[in-house]
Amino acid sequence: MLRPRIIPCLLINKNDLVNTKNFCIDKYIGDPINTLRIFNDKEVDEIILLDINASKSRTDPNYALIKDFASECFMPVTYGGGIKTLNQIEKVLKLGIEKISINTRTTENINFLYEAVKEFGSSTIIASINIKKQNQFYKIYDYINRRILSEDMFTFFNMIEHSGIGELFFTDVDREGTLMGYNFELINLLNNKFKIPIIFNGGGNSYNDLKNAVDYGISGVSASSLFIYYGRLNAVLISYPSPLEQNIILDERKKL
Amino acid sequence: MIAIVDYGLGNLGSIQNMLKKIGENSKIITEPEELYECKKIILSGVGSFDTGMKNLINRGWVEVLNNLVIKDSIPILGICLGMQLMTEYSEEGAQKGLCWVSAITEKFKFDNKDYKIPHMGWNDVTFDKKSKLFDSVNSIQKFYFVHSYFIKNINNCDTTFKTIYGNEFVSGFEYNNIAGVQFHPEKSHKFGMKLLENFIYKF
Repeated sequence: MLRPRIIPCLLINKNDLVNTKNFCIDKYIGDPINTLRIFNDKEVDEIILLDINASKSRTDPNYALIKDFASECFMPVTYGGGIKTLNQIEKVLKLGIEKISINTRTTENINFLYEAVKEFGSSTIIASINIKKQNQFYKIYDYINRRILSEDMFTFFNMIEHSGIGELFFTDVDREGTLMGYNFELINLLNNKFKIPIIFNGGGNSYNDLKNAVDYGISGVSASSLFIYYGRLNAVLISYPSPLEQNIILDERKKL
Repeated sequence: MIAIVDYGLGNLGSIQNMLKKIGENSKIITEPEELYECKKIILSGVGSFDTGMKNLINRGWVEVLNNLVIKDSIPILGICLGMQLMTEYSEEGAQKGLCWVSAITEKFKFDNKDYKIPHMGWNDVTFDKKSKLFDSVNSIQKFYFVHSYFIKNINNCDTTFKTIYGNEFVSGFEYNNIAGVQFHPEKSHKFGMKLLENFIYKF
C-alpha cells in the first residue's frame, strides 16, 4: 500500500543550514551535509532542500553544495531556490536531484512552469506555493517581494494544475517556524481541491500533529523545526520518527 | 564496468552514487559505441515515452542496444521509463517501444479522488522465489515510486513483481537477461542497494 511521506524540509542560506520563522531567518543550525547524513542514516522517506538565498539574491543554485548533498542521499531529494531557467533545472537534475521546486518563478511567470513540465516531465517538477491568511481569506504570498498576490487563490491553482505538474508543495506562512501546529482547515481545503499529490508544510509541532495531517489524505507532510529542534529551549537535535513511530503516524488502516 | 545510458532523460547521478556506495564502478555513457565495452547496462529515465523513444532513436542507441541485449544477451536493467520503453507501446505516445518484452504501458485512472496521480511515494513490492533481483532478501520490500503509467498484459517472462495502488499492477519483471523495475532502486535506501547488488552478482 502507498504510504504518505514524512518529509524534513531543510533551509539553506549560502552554505549554512538555517531555520526560519514566518519566512525570516531565525537561527543558524549547522552544516547541511552533516545533517543530511543523519537523515540518510535514519532512512527518511524524502528530503526537501530549499535555498532561501538564491532566489532573493538572483543567483544560480549552489551547485557545489547540491552535488555534495546529492551524493550522500539514497532517498528522493527535491531542490528549490533560484530556479529561473530550464538550463539550471537540467544542471541540478544531473547532479542527482530527483525533483525541482519552483516558487518565485511560478508567481512571476507561470509559463515557465508549463515549459519546465514539458521539458522534464510532470514527475520532476513541483510548484511550491506559500499561503498567508489576509482578512479571513487565504492568499498566495510572494516572499521575495513580501507581498500578497491579489488574484484569487483558486484561479491561480487552476492555472498551476493545468500545467500538468506532478506535485504541489504548500507552506503556511503564518505558522512556518512557529511550532504552533498545522492548520487543518487549510490542509483539508487543499486536499479536497487537487487530484495530484500535495505536501503540506508549516507549524508541525509533534508526531501527533503529523498523524492528524496525514489523516486528511495528503500525500506528504513536511516540517523543519520539528525535526531540528528538541525541548523547550529549542536545542538543535536532528530527529525523525522511528519505524514504530512511523507506523503509528501513518496508521496502517489509512494507507491506500 | 556497468554502463548507465545517458539518452537525455532522468537523473543518472543517483544511480552512479548508489553503485559507488556498493563498491561498483559505473560509467554514464553518451556515445552508443561505448556500450560495447560494458558488461552490464542500466537504462533509466523519467519523462515521456515518446521523448524517450525519440531520443534513443535519434541518438543512435536502438541498434546497439538490440545487438547487445537481444543478440549478445548482455544483462540490462530498465528503471521507471527505462522499463516502459522495453514494452511494445504506451498509451502516452505514438512511438513504438523497443518490443523486448510482450507488454504495453498504460495510464493510471481512478474514479476515487483519494488516489492521486502520479503514484508517488513508498510502496510495497511482492515477488516470488524465481526472482534474481530479490534473491536472499526478506519478504518486506519497499521502494520509491513516481509514475503515472504502468505496464500490463505482460506475457512470457520468467517472473513479475506486484504492487498495489488501487488495484494490483506489475511493478517489475525478469526475462532472461532483461529486467525492468517501475520503482527507483537508487532512491530506496538499503532496499535499492540490495537490488542493485543482485543485478550485479546474480544476472
